[in-house]
Amino acid sequence: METSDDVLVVEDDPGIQRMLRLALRSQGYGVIAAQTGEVGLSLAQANAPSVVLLDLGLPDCDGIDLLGRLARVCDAPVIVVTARDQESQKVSALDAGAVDYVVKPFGMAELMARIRVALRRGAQHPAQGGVYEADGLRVDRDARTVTLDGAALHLTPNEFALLTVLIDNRGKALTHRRIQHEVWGYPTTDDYKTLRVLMASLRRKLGDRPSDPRFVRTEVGVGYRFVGGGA
Amino acid sequence: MHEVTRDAAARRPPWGLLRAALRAAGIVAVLYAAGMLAVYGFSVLGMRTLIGFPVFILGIMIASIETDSGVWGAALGLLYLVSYDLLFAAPKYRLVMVSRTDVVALVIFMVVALIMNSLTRRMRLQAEISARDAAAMSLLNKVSSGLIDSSSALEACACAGRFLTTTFGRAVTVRYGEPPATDALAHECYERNYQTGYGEVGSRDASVRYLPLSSKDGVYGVVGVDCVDGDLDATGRTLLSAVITQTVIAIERNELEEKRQRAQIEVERERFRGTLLRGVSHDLRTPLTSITGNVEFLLWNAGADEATRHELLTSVLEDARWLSAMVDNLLSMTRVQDASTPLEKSPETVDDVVGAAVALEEKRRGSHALTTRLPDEILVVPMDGRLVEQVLVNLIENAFKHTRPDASVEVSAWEQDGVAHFAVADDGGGMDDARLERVFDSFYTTGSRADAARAAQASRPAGGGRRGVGLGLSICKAIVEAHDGTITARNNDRGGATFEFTLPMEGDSDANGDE
Repeated sequence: METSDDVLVVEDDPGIQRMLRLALRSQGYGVIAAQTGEVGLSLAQANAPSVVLLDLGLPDCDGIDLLGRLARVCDAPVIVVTARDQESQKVSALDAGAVDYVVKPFGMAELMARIRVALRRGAQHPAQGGVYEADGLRVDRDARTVTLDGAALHLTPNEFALLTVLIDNRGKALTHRRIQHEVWGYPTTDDYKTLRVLMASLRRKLGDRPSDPRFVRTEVGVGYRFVGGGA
Repeated sequence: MHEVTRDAAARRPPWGLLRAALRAAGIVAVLYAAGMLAVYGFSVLGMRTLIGFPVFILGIMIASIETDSGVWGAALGLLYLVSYDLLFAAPKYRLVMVSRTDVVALVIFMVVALIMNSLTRRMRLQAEISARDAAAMSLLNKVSSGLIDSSSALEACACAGRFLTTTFGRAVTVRYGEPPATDALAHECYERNYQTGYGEVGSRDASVRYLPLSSKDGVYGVVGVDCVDGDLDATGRTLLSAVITQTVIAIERNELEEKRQRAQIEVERERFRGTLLRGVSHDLRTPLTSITGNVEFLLWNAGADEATRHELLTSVLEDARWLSAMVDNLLSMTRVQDASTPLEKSPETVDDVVGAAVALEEKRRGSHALTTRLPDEILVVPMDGRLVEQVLVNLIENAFKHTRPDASVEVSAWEQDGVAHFAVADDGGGMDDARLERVFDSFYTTGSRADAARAAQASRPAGGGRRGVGLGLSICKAIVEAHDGTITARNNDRGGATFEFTLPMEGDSDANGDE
């Protein structure tokens, strides 16, 4: 690549920082490192990175709060790094504007995939209409048709809306709250039961069997992720 | 219980008085006739008629006792005297002028009558008091047995309150704990440990009297007695005081019992934590030793060939992942064990939970086959999704570890009678019965030499060379039971083992999701 994308790593643990730097450099990314939130903020403002890796367990400030402040100084997508068993943190971060998350201990492959998706997002224009086509699935937004491996699928209006939201955010983790907002426009009254059931119904129509989902992956406690087309 | 403070006789209605008078007159008439007959009989038998006087005294005594009044006794005495004078004293059949003998006799008769009357009255009073005390004792006995049976301080107070209300026929509340500040008199009674309200200085308009439920160790609550119709009488107050004492004793007993139970739970928890830490430390040593050894080898042998490097590094990665799984399990265990935070349940679809678990394990299946079998209808089950995902992951991992490398593992779910069933079944060799029974016990690890020997004898091979995560299955059990479900293990008819668990569905089976 001609211009390398810069990744801003905001991580207080030196061991993890070192590991990230090595891995990211080996993939051709430039690395900017900060060990505290405040330093991270100023570096973000000064260097305009392409993507930010933010550890939510920073000692000097609240990660969620920092997300908001970061968004004001730079519009790079933020991937948060959380500890195990902190579902509420993940969901809050995603709802506060983070585009994705990884959980410690995470594998490098997973992290790289998330970064790739985050970078791609910058180049997309989800508001446009048009056709999505990948992996045997073809969705025509204007004609409101969906075909899978050539056969037409008959989706209800809500199922179609759900599929559209997933495709618009393909590769990214979507919280229940976000999906609820995009599809229905009002908050849930049944703890997202309707949403979950709708998702199950959509998956069955897409032929997604749990043992090897082709299109939608469940992230228990967080939401869903569209993984079709190698996203 | 009636308030017996006045002479019972004085409270009788007028017609009752008439009946009593008639009865008394009848008794006097009978005794008079009997007395006269006796004297006549004695005179016929040749005794001196002076024997009449003791007889008359007897009659007056009986009259006084039976009529409960000295008046009738005195009247009878007069009748006797006049008749005796008329019929038996010389000159016969003629009423002589009253002599000194007559006067003295009459006076003595009066005194006897009065003494008898007073005696009988005192006897009656004593009998009444005894009866009242006996009644009070039996009431106290009743409330005591109720208090002894109480299994909490609140229950004891409720029992006492019910009893006192029924007994006194007025509203009595026995409240455990501090009364709200809005109830000023009750609160003051609680704070200061003295009576307040009706009848006390400074509480003019109060219609309720408050008494503290207290012992030398402090104030436990407040008793409120409704005194709108006046205060209790002396007997009532005594009974109230006795019941309050009994209630305080019951409260103290219950509080002590609760304290003891909490202390016991703490001890159990500490003991469990100790065992957990020991078990975990033991389990951690092996992979850490392996990692250290492999990495040291690679550091000191830079010229090692590619194949060896790959093998050792893969081993290090596997060990690290195993440690990560152990951490997951421990974290889940602490979440489940923490009694103070209830499970956060949400309406998860079986598709989601099974799908997530299977997707995770799909990467680690090696040469195992991993399949799923889910019902056509969408099943929604209230559960903590992350924890149930952990259960499925553990069960699948367990199947991978303890079966032949090419065994197939099937994850299925279905609904039956309002209960969701999940099963992880394999066909890679069953387990002997001894292991089946103990398989969910904490830290039942396979991989020790004894277990390996046992497994070699059993039909199931000690597979994979991997240590068992003894914690894994007991966590499954803890999580399932925290959801009020059940988990079982059995050998199935495909030559392997099936682990099955249930989760209650709480009647939530409507799966139409499109609105």
